Amino acid sequence: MLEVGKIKDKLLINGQELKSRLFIGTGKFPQKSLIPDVIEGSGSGIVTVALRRVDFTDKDENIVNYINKDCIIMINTSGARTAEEAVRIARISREAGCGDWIKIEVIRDNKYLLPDNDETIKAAEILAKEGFVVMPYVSPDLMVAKRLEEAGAASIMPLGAPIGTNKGLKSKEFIRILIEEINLPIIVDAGIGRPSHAAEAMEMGADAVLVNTAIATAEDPVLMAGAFAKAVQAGRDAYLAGPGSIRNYAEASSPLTGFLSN
Amino acid sequence: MIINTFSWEEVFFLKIKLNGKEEYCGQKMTTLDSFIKEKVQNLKKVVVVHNDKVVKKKEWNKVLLKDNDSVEILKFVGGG
Repeated sequence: MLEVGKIKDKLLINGQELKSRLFIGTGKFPQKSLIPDVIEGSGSGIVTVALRRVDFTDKDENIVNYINKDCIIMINTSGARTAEEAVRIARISREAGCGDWIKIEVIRDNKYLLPDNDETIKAAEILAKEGFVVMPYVSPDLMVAKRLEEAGAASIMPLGAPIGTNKGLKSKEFIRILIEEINLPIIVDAGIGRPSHAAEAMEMGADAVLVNTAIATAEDPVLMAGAFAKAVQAGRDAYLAGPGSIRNYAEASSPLTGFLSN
Repeated sequence: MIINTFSWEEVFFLKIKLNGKEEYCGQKMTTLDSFIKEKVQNLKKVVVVHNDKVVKKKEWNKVLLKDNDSVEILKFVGGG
């Protein structure tokens, strides 16, 4: 029997305890100055950024300056179309002092931005050997996830729906299989468009979710970040609490005896 | 008689592959440091990759650029 409030519920990735099960992406914000408050409001401990060539006419600040100091910065390899390019981005980021946490993202498909699972596995094999904390973004597939686990990935990040679509957990059944079969944290990434989607993922046992578009494109991103934080926590608590079974027929909540007569 | 013709760019400038684009830029005998400072206005936390190797800011002035070097100037941007 679980004792409420006494559950020690920690999310460990690569042996490191994370303070939240909500990870935040930093793309698409209307003003970068919102980002510190969004991170604060979300309670997130992991924040993703990308690496790009400098646009010589652009005077924008480096995104890293907006990220709260106690957060882990996870570099994504977006823009990579092959394993080789993803590996290069990871190595450059590490040498530039941005740490070992790498979200491997290899995409060749411009319409749906679906990840290339094969190239992702190749990159994961190389980067795990080089000591990176490998967080691969993949289409949810059990055999792919098993190969990533063998390769030394630190988590699996299956997509709920294509990036930026806000459609929710369209791949729910396949993510469920990963949760059941894979002994690594499962972090649902992409497609989560509403706090209710995040709660749904957490209720079914996902270990964390990564949210970007849904927060960044909300009318009030800071308020939305807080809403996601509550939904993620509520979903996690519900998962730990063990939801009751779903039935076809009614089962009275009140005693079935009549009020005055039997 | 063979006449070598040089363009004035070739004589005075370095041929550098900057962010994937080949161009004549920077005078001969230029250090990575002065080259970058000429190109980028906001130097805060840019990542510089010279011939596939990341060069830390404090080392920029120790690198002398040569013809056909590749220089990538990168930075971290928002991403999911």
